Amino acid sequence: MKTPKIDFLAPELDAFVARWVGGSLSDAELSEWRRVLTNEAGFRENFCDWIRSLREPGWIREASSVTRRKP
Amino acid sequence: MTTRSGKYLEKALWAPWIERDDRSVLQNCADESWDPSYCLDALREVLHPIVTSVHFSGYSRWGVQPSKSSLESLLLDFTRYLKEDGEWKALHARWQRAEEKPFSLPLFLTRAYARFKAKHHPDRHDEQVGEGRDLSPVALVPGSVSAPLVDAFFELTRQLPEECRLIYQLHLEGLLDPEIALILRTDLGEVRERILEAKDRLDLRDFRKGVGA
Repeated sequence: MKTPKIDFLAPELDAFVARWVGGSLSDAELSEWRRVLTNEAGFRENFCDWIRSLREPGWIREASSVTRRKP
Repeated sequence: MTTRSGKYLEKALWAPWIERDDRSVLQNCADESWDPSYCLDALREVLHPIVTSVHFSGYSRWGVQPSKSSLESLLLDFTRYLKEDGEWKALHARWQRAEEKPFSLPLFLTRAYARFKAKHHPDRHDEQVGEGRDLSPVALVPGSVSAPLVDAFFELTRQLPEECRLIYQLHLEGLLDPEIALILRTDLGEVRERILEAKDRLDLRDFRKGVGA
């Protein structure tokens, strides 16, 4: 696992993540959020680990629709 | 989001965190001076799904449940950690700041639990052997070569145009299409199109390199 420059799990980000979940980030903050997700591999990895861990058992089988290449 | 899957994710991830108000639970815990045993009982309803999903995700996806004693032991360890590492204090302070909205106990506890796990049980990937990892394209690479190869592959994604780069990166990390759509607040069809576009672009460039073009 890469060591993130910005730690997604840092307590300092708790309030920011809560606002993101609540949909109350400004356009500028959303843009910065996307920029960090795109460019910070460690941050993105931890973020995706967190999202995956929130999946309810069983949902993944229902939702699984791995994108397939066009024929 | 019109798919059932997307609706489910929205309900599972977003709504409970925004709609729930667990302030009375926190107040009761504060009144008891954050005694771990009391807090564990008070928070059991919130903590149980967090611990089972985050810590035992691999097991639950295979239909195997952790033993009651190991789950109980983890819950108590986590509750102690909340107090001893200052997480309670931070939660309490945040809860008292009325201007900070939304306040969601499950959301903050989920992040606190992830920190607890990283600090005290950093063997997460060994335990998470279920479908969540299997679906990740990068997880298909054998362990001994995975790190450099995966890094190299992610480097390739830098060549992608901005509109499909992040979507494809999240796809490579193993997020499902409806999850990506919800996270980026975009259309599910758009997500699928961008993933296919990224695959086409990367394949074409590799092919050209391979033939020396």
